[in-house]
Amino acid sequence: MTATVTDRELLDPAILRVIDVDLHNAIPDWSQVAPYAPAGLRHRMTRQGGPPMARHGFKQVAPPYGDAPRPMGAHGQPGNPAADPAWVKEQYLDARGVDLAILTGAITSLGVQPNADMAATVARAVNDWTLDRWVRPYSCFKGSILVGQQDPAQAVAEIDRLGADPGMVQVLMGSASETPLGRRQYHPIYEACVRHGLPLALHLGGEGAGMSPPSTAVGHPTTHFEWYGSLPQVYMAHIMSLVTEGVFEKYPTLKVILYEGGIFWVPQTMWRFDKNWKAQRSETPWVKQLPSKYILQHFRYATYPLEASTKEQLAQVLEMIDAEHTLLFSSNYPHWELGDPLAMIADLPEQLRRRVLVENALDLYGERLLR
Amino acid sequence: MAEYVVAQVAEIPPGGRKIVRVAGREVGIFNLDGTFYALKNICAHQGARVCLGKVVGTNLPSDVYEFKYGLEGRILRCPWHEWEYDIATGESLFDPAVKIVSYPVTVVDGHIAVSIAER
Amino acid sequence: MPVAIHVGSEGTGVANPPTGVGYPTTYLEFHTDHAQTMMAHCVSLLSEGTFEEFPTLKFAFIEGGVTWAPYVMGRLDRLYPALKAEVPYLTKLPSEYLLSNCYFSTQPIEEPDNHQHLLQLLAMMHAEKTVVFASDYPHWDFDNPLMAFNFFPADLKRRIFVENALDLYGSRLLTPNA
Repeated sequence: MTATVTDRELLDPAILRVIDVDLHNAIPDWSQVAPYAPAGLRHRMTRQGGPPMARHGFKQVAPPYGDAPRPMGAHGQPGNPAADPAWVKEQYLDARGVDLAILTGAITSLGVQPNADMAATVARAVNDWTLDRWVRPYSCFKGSILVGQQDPAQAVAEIDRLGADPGMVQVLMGSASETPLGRRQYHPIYEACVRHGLPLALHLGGEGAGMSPPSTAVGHPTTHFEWYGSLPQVYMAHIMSLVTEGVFEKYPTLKVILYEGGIFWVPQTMWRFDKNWKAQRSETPWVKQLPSKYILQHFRYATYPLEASTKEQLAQVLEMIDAEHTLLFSSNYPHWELGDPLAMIADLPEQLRRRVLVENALDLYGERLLR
Repeated sequence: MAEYVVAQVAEIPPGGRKIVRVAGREVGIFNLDGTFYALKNICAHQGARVCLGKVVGTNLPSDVYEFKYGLEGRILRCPWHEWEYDIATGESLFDPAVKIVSYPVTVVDGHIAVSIAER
Repeated sequence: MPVAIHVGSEGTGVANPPTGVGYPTTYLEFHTDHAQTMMAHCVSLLSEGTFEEFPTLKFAFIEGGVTWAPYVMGRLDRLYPALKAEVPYLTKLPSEYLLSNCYFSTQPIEEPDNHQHLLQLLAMMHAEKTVVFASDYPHWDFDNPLMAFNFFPADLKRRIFVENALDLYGSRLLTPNA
C-alpha cells in the first residue's frame, strides 16, 4: 500500500542538529506483527516467543541497555526502552536533541534463516508493521526495508514493493551470511537498491546463527565478549567480496553503510587489499582502480561503538578513512552498555562534528530523510 | 643525453631480451615484434631486477566476469610481486604514474643504442 | 619458548571456511582475508585469559600484517568495562595483554601512500616493542628488507629488525646450534 505523503514541505536541513542512523526499535509482542503476515503463516508469528528465528549461542552476560531511559514495565520492573515509539521520541530524541532516527529493528539473522519463505514473510510483515506503528505517526522516524538475502528474488520483490515509499530510506540486511555478499547471486538485490536510489545497510549480530559458518575464520568464539570483538572481521570479508566481484563497477551509485563495526580496522583492510591487488590485478580485471578507492567511495561507517583510544589516535584514524565523508552518527539505541552514544563521540575534531552528526547522513540518504 | 650502443639486433630475436650493463646501471632490452625497448632493471616497488620477470599477456580491463586476454608478449611481470608493466612505456598497468624508467632506443645498421641522461 | 602461528591453510582439510561468512571466490580475496585468521586468534587468546594464565608466554602472529592490532586493542578495550562480567579472569585491559605478550611480524607490511599513516598505527600498537621483521622469502608476497622500511625512524627500524626478535626468542637466537 502506498503512503499518503504528508502535507509538510521538505525539512530544512539547516535546522537539523543530529541524525541518528541506527536505532533498534523493538517488537514488544509479535502478535502486533501477526496481522501483517498472510493468513497461512500467521500462526508462526503468534506462537510463544514469535517466529522461529535462526539463533546463535552468544548472549550477552552483562545487564543490557546501559543508561538508556527505561519505562516502567510490567510487575514494576523496568521495561524495554525501545518498545514504545512515543517513549523513544520523548525520552531519547527530544531529550537529547536528535531530530531524525533511522530504524533498524532487532532482526540481524534473517539472511541465514534456513526457511527462505519464512524469512521473506517476516521481512514483509515487519516492514509493514514498522511503517504503520513507527514511521507514519512520527515524522522523526525513518524506516529500513528489511530483506533476507538467501532468496534474492523475494528480496528484490520486497525492495520493489516498498522502494518508492517515502517512509523508507535504505535497504537493510544482516551481515551474517552463508557466503560473502559480493557473489553474483546477490547482484539483483544491489540492482534493486540502485534502481530505487537506496543505500544498502549491513548490520552485525547474526554471525554464527542458522546457516552461517562459524563467525570467525578459525571457528566459533567461546564467549559473547570474544564473538562481539571479532565481528568486524566479517565486514572485511564482505568488503573484499563486494569489490572483487565488481559490484561497484556494475552499480557505481551503490553505497553501503556498515553498522556497529567500528573503524580502526579499515586502514589495514584498504592497505593489504591495495598491495595484493597491484600484484593480482589480472585475476579480477574488471576491478579497474585501487580497491581503497572503491572502499572510500562506496562504504560508510557508524560511530557506535568507536574503538577506545586517545583523542589523537582517533583523529589519525579519522583522517585515514576520510571520516569527513564516511562516518555517520549512530546511537545503537537502546543498547548503550558500551556508553552513551553522544559521549562516545566527544573526542571528534570540532570541524568534523556537523559532518558526522548531520551532513554525511544527508549525503548518503538524500532527500528521503527530509520528507 | 648520451647514446650507448648496448647490443646487436641479431642477438635479440622477436620475443627475446638481453640484460646489459650501461652507464652504471642494468638495463633490459626487449624486442617486441621487431621494435626494441629499454627498461631500467629496477622495479618501482621494492627494487627487484624486474627485467628478469616473465614476458606475458594479461587480462585487460573488462566488464564484470568477462575475461579479455590481450597484450600477449607485451607485459613484463616483476619476478617478485608480479606487478605488471607495459614494456613499450614502462608504465604499470594499475597506475600509469607508477613506472619503470624507460630509455629511448634507436637502431642504426643493426646496432641497438639507448639514450641515457648524464648525471 | 614462544609460540608462532602462520597463515596459509585456511579453508583446507577440516578447517573452517576462511572467513566468518564463508568462502571467498578469488585468490586476491583469500590472501587478503588471511589477516582475519590472525585477528580471530588474537581476540580469542586475549578473551580466554591465555596471558593471564601464562604470563610469560610470548605469542607471534606471522604473515597477518600488522596494522590490525589497534582495532583489536581498541574494540576489546571498549567492550571490557561494560562486559567484563563474562571474562572475570582478566585482571587488566585486553590491550595490556596484547602489548605485553603478543608479537606481529611485518610481512606483508602494509604500504599506504602516506607513510605517516603507517607509522601512526605502528605507534598505537607500540611497534617498538611488538613488531618483528619477517621477509617471507621466497614467496611472491615477501618484503625486501633493504627497501620496504626505508622511511622508518632509525631507532624503530633497529627495534623491528633486531631487538624485538631477541626479546621474543631470547638467547636461543644467539647461541650456536651444535
